[in-house]
Amino acid sequence: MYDLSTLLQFLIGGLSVGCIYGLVGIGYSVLYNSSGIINFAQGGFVMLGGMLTYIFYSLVGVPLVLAMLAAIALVSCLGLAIEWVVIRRLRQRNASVHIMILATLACQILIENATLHFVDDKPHSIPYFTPGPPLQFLGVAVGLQILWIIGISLLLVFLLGLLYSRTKFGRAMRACAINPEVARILGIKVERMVAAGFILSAALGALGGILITPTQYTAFHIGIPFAVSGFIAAIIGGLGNPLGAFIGGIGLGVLQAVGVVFIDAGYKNVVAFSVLLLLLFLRPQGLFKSLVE
Amino acid sequence: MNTSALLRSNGLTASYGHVEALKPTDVMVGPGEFVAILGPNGAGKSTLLRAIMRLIASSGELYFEERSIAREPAHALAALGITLVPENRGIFGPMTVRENLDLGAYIRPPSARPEIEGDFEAVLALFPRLKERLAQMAGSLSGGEQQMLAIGRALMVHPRLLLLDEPSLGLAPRLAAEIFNALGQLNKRGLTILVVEQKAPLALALANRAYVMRTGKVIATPDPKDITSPDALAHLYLGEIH
Repeated sequence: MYDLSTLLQFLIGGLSVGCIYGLVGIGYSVLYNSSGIINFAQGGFVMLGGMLTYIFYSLVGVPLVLAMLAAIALVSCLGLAIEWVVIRRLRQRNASVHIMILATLACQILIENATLHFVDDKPHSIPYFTPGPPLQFLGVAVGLQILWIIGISLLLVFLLGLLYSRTKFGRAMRACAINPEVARILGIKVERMVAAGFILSAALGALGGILITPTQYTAFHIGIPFAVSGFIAAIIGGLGNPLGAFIGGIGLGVLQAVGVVFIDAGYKNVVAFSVLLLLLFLRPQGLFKSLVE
Repeated sequence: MNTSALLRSNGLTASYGHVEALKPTDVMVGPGEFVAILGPNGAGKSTLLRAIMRLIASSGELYFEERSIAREPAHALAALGITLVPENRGIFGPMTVRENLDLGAYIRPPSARPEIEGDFEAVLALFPRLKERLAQMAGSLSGGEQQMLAIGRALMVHPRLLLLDEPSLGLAPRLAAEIFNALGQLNKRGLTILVVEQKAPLALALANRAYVMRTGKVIATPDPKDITSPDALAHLYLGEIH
């Protein structure tokens, strides 16, 4: 059996990856809060965030911070492009939400294959934001990048909470998801809000990818696992509730760590998904109340 | 051409797919009027309101203060001063009453803050029950309170023309009367109102003019004062199409 510090070490690892699931889950919630759409290309945004930062930093030679900002900007533009080229056209043809969700999955596969074709199939990484040895707490090593991940995630959750509860823009976004027709009657440009939702969710996905890449790696195929885990986080938390998605992500990450500790690394998803199933039976609406339902 | 019209349609039609739900329709609403649109289920009343609000594909002419709005996007109408209280209210359930009312003023610029505050107070004076429930989730309000909120939110747009689709739907008679009493007060203060209503006596008690619709077209334009009995109304609904 493991000693306490090893257990805590696993939990810290689970917490940091859980934050990323949470960030991906927040991306789903942000888009859901403006359009009612689930965007499965969210995993592609995560992958591209890390991959484009790697390209700008390692191949082009741009300073790391600028490389990150450029990656976020480009991925945000991609989010907008998906909204313009795919979602808006489908809406104009009165496609159901299910069709639009399927179209976002197609976008995810396109992003993945384009990356394989135009970059390569190898794993790539970027440096830690702050170089230096891990901090030691109670015999547990906490990498500085993990602190970045947790800190930025908490900041984003706080800022999104303010956006949705305090700003006219955030409330209008939610109104578009709750009842787009009434939102239009009140003068809200629904298409613009949906586009803003895509930009924001893409930026959040890219940021998640950038945060996690130094602790592991990025490669063309990492998007779908993150998309699935992030989606689960969003469902656990109550789809449409960013704070819920974040807590759901942390819950999922920690559960996976528990699975590794008490059973076996191979069973981490068995434990996590068993708990998810149990939760869905007991509380299908998620742990927290949606902001739009 | 009637130059005094606030809203005027000429040959307005609308379809759902291949079904023509609104046959060429001419309606006119003058400034300060209270106009009722009556008719049985499926007569095209709601379709007419949705076509005016540009919420469904329509053709024909549509003017607001003699400016053509037939090609305007739906979201542009609020800024012109036209808004709709939709059927089933369309309140934002997961938001508070206050947030719903604030969203009514979405298109108004920050410089209009004093006027917005004035309208907010006026809404609370008209519907005092909302004042006690400002922090409550709108979805947890009773049906009558939700209708008050929907009307209050529409008033926050500061409209010059208020359209309402079945405001009494699903309400107890006492509450329906309360809602129409409020609409009467708003009309007395100068707000122009076009209301679709199945409970005809409520609307006719306030209306200056009425249109009766059946099978997607206007079949009569009776003087509300002449419809004094249920029989007269039944004759209008079921009688020969003139």
